[in-house]
Amino acid sequence: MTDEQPTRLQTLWRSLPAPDVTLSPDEMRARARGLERTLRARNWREYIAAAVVIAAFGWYATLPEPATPLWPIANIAVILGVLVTVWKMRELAPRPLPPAAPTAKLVTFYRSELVRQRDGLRKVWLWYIGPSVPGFLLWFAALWIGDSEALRTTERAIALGTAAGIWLCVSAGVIGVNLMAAARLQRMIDAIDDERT
Amino acid sequence: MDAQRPDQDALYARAAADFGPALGRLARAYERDADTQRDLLQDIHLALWRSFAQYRGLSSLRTWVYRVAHNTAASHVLKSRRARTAHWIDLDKACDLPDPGSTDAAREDTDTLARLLSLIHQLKPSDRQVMLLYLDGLDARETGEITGLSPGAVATRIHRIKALLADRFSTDGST
Repeated sequence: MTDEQPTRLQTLWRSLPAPDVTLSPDEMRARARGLERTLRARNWREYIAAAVVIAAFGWYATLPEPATPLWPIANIAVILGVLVTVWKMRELAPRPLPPAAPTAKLVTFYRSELVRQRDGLRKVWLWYIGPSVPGFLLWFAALWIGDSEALRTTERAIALGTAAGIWLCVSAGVIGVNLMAAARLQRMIDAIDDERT
Repeated sequence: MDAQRPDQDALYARAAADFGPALGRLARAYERDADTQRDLLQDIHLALWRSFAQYRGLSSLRTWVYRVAHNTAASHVLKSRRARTAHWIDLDKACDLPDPGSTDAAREDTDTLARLLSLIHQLKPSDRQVMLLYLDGLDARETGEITGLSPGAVATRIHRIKALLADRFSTDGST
């Protein structure tokens, strides 16, 4: 507190009717647990999705057809790509803000987090799409090479080309959505910079 | 964790009892809408309770409470859509704002408070924070500890705040 007597405006301010919140420690614990559950659920969703993809491609790798050594290699490459992506996602996960840092430090930390996440989203083609590219290219090549001569028809080529096209479109969509999210983060960074000037 | 609970709960209870009204005013200063004020205030209380698990007594309880509360409010504002669309002003520009309350009714306390809140809502968050700490009666040293601003920067802002408030409210005898 200042040693000075409060001014009339300060006294008036301290008389401002304000909303009151009363939460018992048990309610606090319940809310804190809810927040932690939400975070854990998000992490588990990532792990489960990765586990499903890994299990599926692991199973594909054991299939005798297409009959080419490239087939298990392709599936293992896809699995490795998924593992790289999961590792990178963990690395880019938001870090908790320090609760009682001086506000200027908190804003600096928050801005650096936004920059880190923006850069991660901008490079999603590299760490999210990129690691799976070699695996999928090998996968399509193995499907074509491993087929018997009789199956290498124009229709088969069109079907494989269509599947590859869909995969490319989905990848482009993922990149586009992430670039839009990166632009939104950039606007938040700009707002912080504007506020500081 | 369980061993820390009584301390955490006791610290929170003390903070809520001692600073509850200040936290409520803080919520009103950051949000205009009553429901959003209540949501923000609940977030502040939850952040406070959680933060006490890490409180080691290296700063005073008051400094800790104000830091956590202001940080929660600042994060709340920075994450909101408003941060990208609002046209906040700094203390210098606030002097040029038209003053809506120059009628007789403006001399009433409630009207003075309404005008003060309106002014606070228009300030950019960093100036708003210093203004609120000044109005709550915290000294320059504590304000520096809470905001992270240098003593010189705090002194400059408090000087401008006093000038702004004198300019706005001196006719009410409020400053």
